[in-house]
Amino acid sequence: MGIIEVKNLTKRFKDHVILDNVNLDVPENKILGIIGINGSGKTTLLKTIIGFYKVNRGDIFYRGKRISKVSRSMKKEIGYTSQDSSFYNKLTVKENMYYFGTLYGLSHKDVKNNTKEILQFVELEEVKNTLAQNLSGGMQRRLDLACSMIHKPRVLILDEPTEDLDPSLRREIVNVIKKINKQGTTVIITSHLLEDVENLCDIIAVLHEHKVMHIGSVEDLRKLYGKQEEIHVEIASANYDRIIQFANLKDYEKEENKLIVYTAEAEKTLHMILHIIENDKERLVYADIRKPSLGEVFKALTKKK
Amino acid sequence: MKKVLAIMGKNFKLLTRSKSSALIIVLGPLLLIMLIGAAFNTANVYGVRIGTYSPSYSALSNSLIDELGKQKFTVQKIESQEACIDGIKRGIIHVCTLFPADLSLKEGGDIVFYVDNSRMNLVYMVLDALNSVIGTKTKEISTQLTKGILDTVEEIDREITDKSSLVNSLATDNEDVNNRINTIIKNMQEIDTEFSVELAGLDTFEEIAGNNDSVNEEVRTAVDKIKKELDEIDLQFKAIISAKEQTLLSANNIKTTLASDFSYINAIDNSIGKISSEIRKVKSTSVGKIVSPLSTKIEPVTSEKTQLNYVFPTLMILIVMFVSMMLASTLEITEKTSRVYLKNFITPTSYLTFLVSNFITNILVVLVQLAVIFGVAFYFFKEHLLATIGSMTLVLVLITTVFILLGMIIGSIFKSEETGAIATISIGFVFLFFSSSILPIETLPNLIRTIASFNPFFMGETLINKILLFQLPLTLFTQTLYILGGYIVGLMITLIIVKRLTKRSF
Repeated sequence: MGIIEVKNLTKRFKDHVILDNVNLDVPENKILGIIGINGSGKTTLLKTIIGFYKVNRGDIFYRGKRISKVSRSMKKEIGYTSQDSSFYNKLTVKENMYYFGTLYGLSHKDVKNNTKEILQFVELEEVKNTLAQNLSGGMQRRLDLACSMIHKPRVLILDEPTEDLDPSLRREIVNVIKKINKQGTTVIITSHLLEDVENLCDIIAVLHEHKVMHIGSVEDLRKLYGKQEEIHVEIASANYDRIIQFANLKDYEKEENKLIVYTAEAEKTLHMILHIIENDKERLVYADIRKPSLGEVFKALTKKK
Repeated sequence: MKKVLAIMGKNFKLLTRSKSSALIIVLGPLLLIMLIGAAFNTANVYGVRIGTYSPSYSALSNSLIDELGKQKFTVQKIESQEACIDGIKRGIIHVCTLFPADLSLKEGGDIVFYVDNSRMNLVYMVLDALNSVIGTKTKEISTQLTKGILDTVEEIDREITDKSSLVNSLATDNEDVNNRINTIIKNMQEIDTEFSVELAGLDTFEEIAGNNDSVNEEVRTAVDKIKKELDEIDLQFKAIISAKEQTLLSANNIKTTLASDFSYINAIDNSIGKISSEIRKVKSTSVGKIVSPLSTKIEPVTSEKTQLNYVFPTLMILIVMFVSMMLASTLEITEKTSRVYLKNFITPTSYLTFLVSNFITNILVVLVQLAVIFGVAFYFFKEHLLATIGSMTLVLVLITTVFILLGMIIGSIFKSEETGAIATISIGFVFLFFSSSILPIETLPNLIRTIASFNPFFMGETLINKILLFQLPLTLFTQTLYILGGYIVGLMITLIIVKRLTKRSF
């Protein structure tokens, strides 16, 4: 039994179904990643879990109890950051921490200690008296995380935490989240930046067309849907019709000037393709065999569906 | 409590750290009250244009026009009555004044004002000023005329007073003559006219003499002569008696005539006295009393000198209403639409805690603004403010609470600042229109007037007006205070219901 269980959850806005009979089990002390294309219902799922949206059908349990019954105690143990930085720009780093600490019902002493500890943890100690609006993008995201952690939550829910960040900042945030998890905090994270999820998450839930299509580790997903390897081929003319016809390719896609072929017999198929290219006297630019990335798995999964 | 203080602290930091918010809180009301003070701190009517037309201006109509000009009105002579009236319609002039041709005191005539009734407040103000100018001139003329009449009356009085001594002298003479007549009558009556000729002795003597030859003829002749003489004397006496009686009769007649004359003289004297007394009464009456025996004088119950003092209570409630409602609704909507809303929501803090904190923040901000306004208003209402500061504070806190709660309800219902602002302004205008600020509430139909009398804006305006201007005690308005208290309770319940209905959580 996970720390949070979502059972047969359906959420509608008027007649528009956002989540349809969703089931999800969040194991304790793990990082759960929820991936899905924009509009797949990731944020709605998180907001429903924290009780911001009412459930139309189904149940959500926290430590085995319905969240409607433990709303207040659950709130004390959950931290949340939304897609946008959610703190007060006109307050300093420390003031933001003190404010949220007080709202979480911490004593002044706990607020003080936790603030010091968490600011050190997220490396914001030196800028604690700086107005939040004057922090850099990465610092602001770290402050957002720090505010969500002021009460040392057991579960940290992060909605697209690496969104709109440059690669170095994304790495920075991913590392912080890993550190948080190592301290025993269960993390639920949504993202459409699959590389981050791949690097970060123990378990991944694929949300597609209002449902959880699959839940498991990255390796599980690869095993399930990544049996086929990928052949990436590029020729000068970028005309792949003859290759597709003579190699009898079934599962492929054209991406810019490149042909990507999904197959279980990568070496044999590549050999055939190279033979056709040679016969046709085409100029080969590039050829490679790869294991599929999470993105590619996700793409394959959603495409297959 | 800790949470309430934390939220309030956050609210104040956000307000004060935003330069524009801080400026609005402190400088906004200061600027507003200074501008209003500069604009309304006068009792004059500036910028009012008066058009005049007369087929033929007389000296009197020209002098009236001059008077209007002296009252800071811009007066313009217009070439025709139609153009004059048309000038009002086109907004060139505010009032058209028609003087009759050759207006004079002898002929008199009606001075007609044409006004634009769609600008009621201006019309009343201008007509009041015009009536005052023309009334003053009319009074001046009447005073001159009356003064002339009084001068004539005084001259008559002087003449009568002079001649009344002659009447007195006549009365004295009459009395003197009367006394003398009385003396004459008395003297006459005292004259003894009793005379009877007793001829018996002579007859005896004659008889003796006749029988006695010795009595010579001479004696007899002498006796006869005596007898004759005596008869003559008797006759004379009779004549005297008759004359005496005649004289007494005449004297009595004269006396009667004198007595009659005396009564006439007295009557004349009385009449003169009465006339003189009446004239004196007229003289003792002032010219002003004769010109305007029933003078109407409107005495304000307060001694305020400028329009600011009268409009201040309305302005203050207006500021309180709009600032409270706008601030409360904006704060609610800003918080609700803020990115931090979700983070606040996820904390184990009741929405009631947020409500209470935001309410206290709002009321403190409005009270800060009121303190700024009071600081400036102290210049105009020094004694009044000091004397009523307690009552004023209580009333303002109640009114502010009503409007803040209303603003919070609006803020809870509407989802964007724009719609919230429109709703706030619309409700504010409804309150404003159904108060005595635009038109007196007494001009509204009965039912609407009754409803409007429960308008919190109207109630607040009335309370502040009576407390600040007349220094009436709060005990006189307990009913109004109870109604405001009822509003507060009702609005609090409504706010909680609205919050629960609009809350998106469990």
